[in-house]
Amino acid sequence: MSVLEVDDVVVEFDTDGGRITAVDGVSLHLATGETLGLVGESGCGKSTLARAIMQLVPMQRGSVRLEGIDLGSLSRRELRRMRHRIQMVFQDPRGSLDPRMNVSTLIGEPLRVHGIGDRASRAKAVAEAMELVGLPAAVADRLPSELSGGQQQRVGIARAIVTDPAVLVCDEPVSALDVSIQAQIINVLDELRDELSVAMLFIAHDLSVVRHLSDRVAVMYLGQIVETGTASEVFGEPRHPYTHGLISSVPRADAESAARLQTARRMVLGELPSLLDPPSGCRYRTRCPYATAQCAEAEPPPEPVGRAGGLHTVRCHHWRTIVSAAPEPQESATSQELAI
Amino acid sequence: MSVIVAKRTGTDPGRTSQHRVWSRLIEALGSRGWILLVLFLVLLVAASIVPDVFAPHDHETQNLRARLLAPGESSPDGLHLLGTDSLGRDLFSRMVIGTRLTMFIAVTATLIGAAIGVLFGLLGGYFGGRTDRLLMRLGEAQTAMPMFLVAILLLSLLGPSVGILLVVLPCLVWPIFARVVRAEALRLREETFIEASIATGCSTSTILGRHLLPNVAPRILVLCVVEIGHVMLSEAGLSFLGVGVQPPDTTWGLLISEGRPLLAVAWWLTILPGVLLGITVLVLNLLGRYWEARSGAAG
Repeated sequence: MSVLEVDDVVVEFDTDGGRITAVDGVSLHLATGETLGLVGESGCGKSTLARAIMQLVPMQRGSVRLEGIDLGSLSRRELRRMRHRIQMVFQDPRGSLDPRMNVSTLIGEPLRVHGIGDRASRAKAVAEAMELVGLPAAVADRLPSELSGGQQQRVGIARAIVTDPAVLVCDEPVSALDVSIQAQIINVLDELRDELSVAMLFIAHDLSVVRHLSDRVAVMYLGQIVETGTASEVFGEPRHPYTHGLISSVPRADAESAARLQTARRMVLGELPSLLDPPSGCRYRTRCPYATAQCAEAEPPPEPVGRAGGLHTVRCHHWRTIVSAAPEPQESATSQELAI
Repeated sequence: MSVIVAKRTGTDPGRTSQHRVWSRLIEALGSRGWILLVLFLVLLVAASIVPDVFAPHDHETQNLRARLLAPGESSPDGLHLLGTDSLGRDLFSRMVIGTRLTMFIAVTATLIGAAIGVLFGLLGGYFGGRTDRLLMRLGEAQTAMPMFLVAILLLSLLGPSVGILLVVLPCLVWPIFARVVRAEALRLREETFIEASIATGCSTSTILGRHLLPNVAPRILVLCVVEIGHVMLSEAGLSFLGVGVQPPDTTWGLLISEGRPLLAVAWWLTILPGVLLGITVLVLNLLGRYWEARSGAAG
């Protein structure tokens, strides 16, 4: 059973340049204890999607169902009461903690505002959460500014899990941290997932991080999910040219790495287009080496890959013709198509 | 250093020179100078709690033989450090006694004004939109009105009393608190930790009371200290005009007012309470700005 069902979510913003659609009809679901990795470049709408799921930004369309309850249909009060079932870990560990609250108050706050337990049991829960995320008891009285970045994010995670939520939304929880700390935090999340059987939506722009944690993966591009499937499907047999590009851009210490990087450069051309003026048809066509006239005319629907009813879907007109192993697009065709 | 900065960045020359005087004074205080300022305030507070310890004479005892003694002269009752008034009452003792009501009115009125201003500022800054516009227009209307004249009107209609002073004086200061707190709330509203609080499930009152308020508290405290001085001046002004505190109660402002007709023959009755009032306002201002400068440098 799905604890979280996100159906056809659309989020629009007014900016100085005009109205943009940051999230354009995204659907996804999470089963109990499952981890879904959501990857994409900066600015593709990952964080906005996370905020929409958390009901922090208004949705223009679509629904978010948590344990069967449509969050959009709830009153503000009812929504607030539901929030202990879905919690979020933020990208900026320092900014997401109130600078005037000490660690134990910060971690105990979710329990307090939801009226869970009495003072003594809350103190116990806070101590347990601190131990779970690897915070020494000695930091309980410290302010966030007195902690290291890694410790700050541990506090953020402890805050998010202390109410024993069904869903944990992690919005690039390690991007703001030193590389040396990133692995520690990933391990904390990995252990928590096993221990608490919490479903996790793990957002990152770094595939190597997602690969380590995820059961399933969704690849997002300009507000849409272009490919989704189990981790082995998406990483093993990527069908969308964008996924190819992302995977190839993960630096790897093997003999192929140079060749892969070469491919990556061909697969993801140029800059992310502006959301103010998204390309017609397939959103990726302006950067895609395989783009044809068809791509400019019609938006590709999500198509299942492999057996019917499978989880692996892709949004590309040409996925059948793109060989999953190291593709070799025709250089001449590429430049020609791009001129369209 | 800060002097130079103030000089270069300031656009309004009047404001700049004012700024320069303040930063010079704060520099002159050094790192320990604030202790002196606090000590002075502690003395004032002590004088308002236990005036008998400080007053050498009974403040109400009249002695027509010892009328209008100049500072330092003695009567059969003893030395009159700051002289006596037209009824032979010891001025120093009367100033000590007056401290209590002066402080009480200033502190209470400031706190009431601060409470209103902080509430309105938080609500306006956090919610924005229509709430914000309404509250801020209210503050502007208040500021635009010559409140001193309104106060005089109100007090002459209803009759002067301490109670009405505690209604009128907060009206003078709440817009200042509202503006400062609103600006802070507007800034803090965009911080991730507020969004994180919403995501966690905090109610609006929790966010306002437990997240926004503690984060603006230092600024409110500093502002309170400065505004107490301003309220003190306003109260003195109203009392001077005869619409504030009424005898036999006394405040510094009232002492100044009572001494005024005798200014030609007994300068001390007007000047000395005035000097005390001036020093107190200066000390409060300095302390407030000193703390602000220090917290600004630290954060």
